[in-house]
Amino acid sequence: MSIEWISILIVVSMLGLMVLGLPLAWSLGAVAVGLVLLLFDPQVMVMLVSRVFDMSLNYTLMSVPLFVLMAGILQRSGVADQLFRAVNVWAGGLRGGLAIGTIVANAVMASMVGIIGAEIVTFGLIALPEMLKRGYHHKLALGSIAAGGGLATLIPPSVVFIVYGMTAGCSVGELFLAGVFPGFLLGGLFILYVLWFGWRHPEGAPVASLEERSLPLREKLATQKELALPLLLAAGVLGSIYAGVATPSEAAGVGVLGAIFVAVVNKRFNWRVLRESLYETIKISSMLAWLFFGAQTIIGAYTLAGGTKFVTEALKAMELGRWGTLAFMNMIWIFLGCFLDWIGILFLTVPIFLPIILDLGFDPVWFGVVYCMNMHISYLSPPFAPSAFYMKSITPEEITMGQIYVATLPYLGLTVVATLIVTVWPELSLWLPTLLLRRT
Amino acid sequence: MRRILLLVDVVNVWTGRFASIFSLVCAFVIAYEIILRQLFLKPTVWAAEATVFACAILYLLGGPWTLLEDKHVRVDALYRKLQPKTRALVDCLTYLPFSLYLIVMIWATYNYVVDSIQLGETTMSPWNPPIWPMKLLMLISLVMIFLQGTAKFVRDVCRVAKGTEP
Repeated sequence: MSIEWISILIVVSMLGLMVLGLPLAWSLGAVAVGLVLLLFDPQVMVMLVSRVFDMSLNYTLMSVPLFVLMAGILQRSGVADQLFRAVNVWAGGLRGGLAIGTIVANAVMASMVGIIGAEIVTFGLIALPEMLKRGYHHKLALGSIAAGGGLATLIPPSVVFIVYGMTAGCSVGELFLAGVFPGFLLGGLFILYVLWFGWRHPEGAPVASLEERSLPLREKLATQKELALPLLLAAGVLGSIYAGVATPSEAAGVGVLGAIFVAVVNKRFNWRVLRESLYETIKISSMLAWLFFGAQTIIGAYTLAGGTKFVTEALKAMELGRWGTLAFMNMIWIFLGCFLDWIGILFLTVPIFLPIILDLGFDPVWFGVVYCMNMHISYLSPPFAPSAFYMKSITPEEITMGQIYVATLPYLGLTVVATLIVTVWPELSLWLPTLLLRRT
Repeated sequence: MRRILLLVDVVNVWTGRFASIFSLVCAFVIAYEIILRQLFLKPTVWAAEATVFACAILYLLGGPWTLLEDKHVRVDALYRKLQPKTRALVDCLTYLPFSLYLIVMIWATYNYVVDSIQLGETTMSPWNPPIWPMKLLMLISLVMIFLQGTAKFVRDVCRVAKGTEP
């Protein structure tokens, strides 16, 4: 059988299994096993098993459970409430101040938490009732929470970057730094949109009440005290990576102890919090790890069959040029993003795209940021928009899925704009890692 | 039959709960190692490897529980819309590729473990512990995932045939 037919067979059987709802981890593995039995000696499986085993002992993969555990404990420690309050005392006479505050609080929370979903649920429960109570238009309230929650993918520490870095074989530290400014850019655009909305629809974006605005400065400053500990923790975790004291995995381990400390100080730490966080951590990490194991088998089998070489040559033969190829990849991502989540897209495309990207002379770290921006689009784009699902799980009954989709649309548009900026202007992502890590 | 299914559930839940402690263990070992290295300039020989082992135990023993709780991600654009009974029928179909993957992996991992034990293989690091216990753990994990998946299959068959769970 020729490699063309093998590739088509793989894609068709994989899509078939996925549509039938077989979890991705088993779909990848089943296709790999089928391929090996069809093409090679069964003994090849032992080689694939050793790839899987090596992956289970991967040093970078270790940072996933640790960052998830850190996020789990922080989420239950009341930090989000404090952040929201501390940011919003400054809203004052600004139209849509609470929505802007939500985005800023999300960005700060993102520097401690690396997973999407957690943030939306946390801030949805805190910020949404506050905004609706004060007469904010539901479009503004829903959109700012759903879009702001996604900043966790770009602002370090981000689990998306860890998983990308492992798949692409580039430094997680560099990826973290590269995501910072695109994260600011995206957050900035979101805030500009809220300001514009407040200017166009003043009735839907009220200012803070007189009572809140006339709060004496000393009391306003007092709320800022509560920010100190979480910010210190974020600075400590990221700082220790860049100061060279700790690897990202080690920093995550220290972050876990820091998160426990914050929870203890806030008097929120108890066995239930710890147990729930541990149980959540093992399930999320096992899910990711078994996906990695499945991906190892299919990538191993496909490479052995000469597949990666074939795709590279086929894409070259299309003669799209450097930027044309990149645009083509982006379109595949956006298309897949309507149906799959970031994990599935990463495992299906990045191992195949990356050699081509390197071949074309693009920077793999910058490509990681472009990937992450695309996932931000996928994360907001219907019909499979994880952000909308998370949002729906915590909104009052009368808010429909349609309303949530409409509320996130402007942010989706802004994310597309930001993705274009990040793509045509690689320095935006790369100057910080170059400055701090690539000293020559 | 019902008892066997419940036994599989209970074993996997408790194994998973036990294994969940290892993420915390890992965090403490890391902190211990950093303190020794940075403050006392005496890094341990075992910490880096031990933390990696702790996390491997976490994923390997957590896999079956994650399956039981249906937390392995899937594309649910279509699946989500199916009636419970149709969904059970579809799950019965996809049990085939699932068991193909797991059975072949179990067979290959068995050979991999036997080789490792016979060679008395170690990690070849300064600490140099034997590596076969971790490989054996992978075999156990695959078997437990297969059993948990099979338990789900039996339940799905009952749901399709009789409309109720055993």
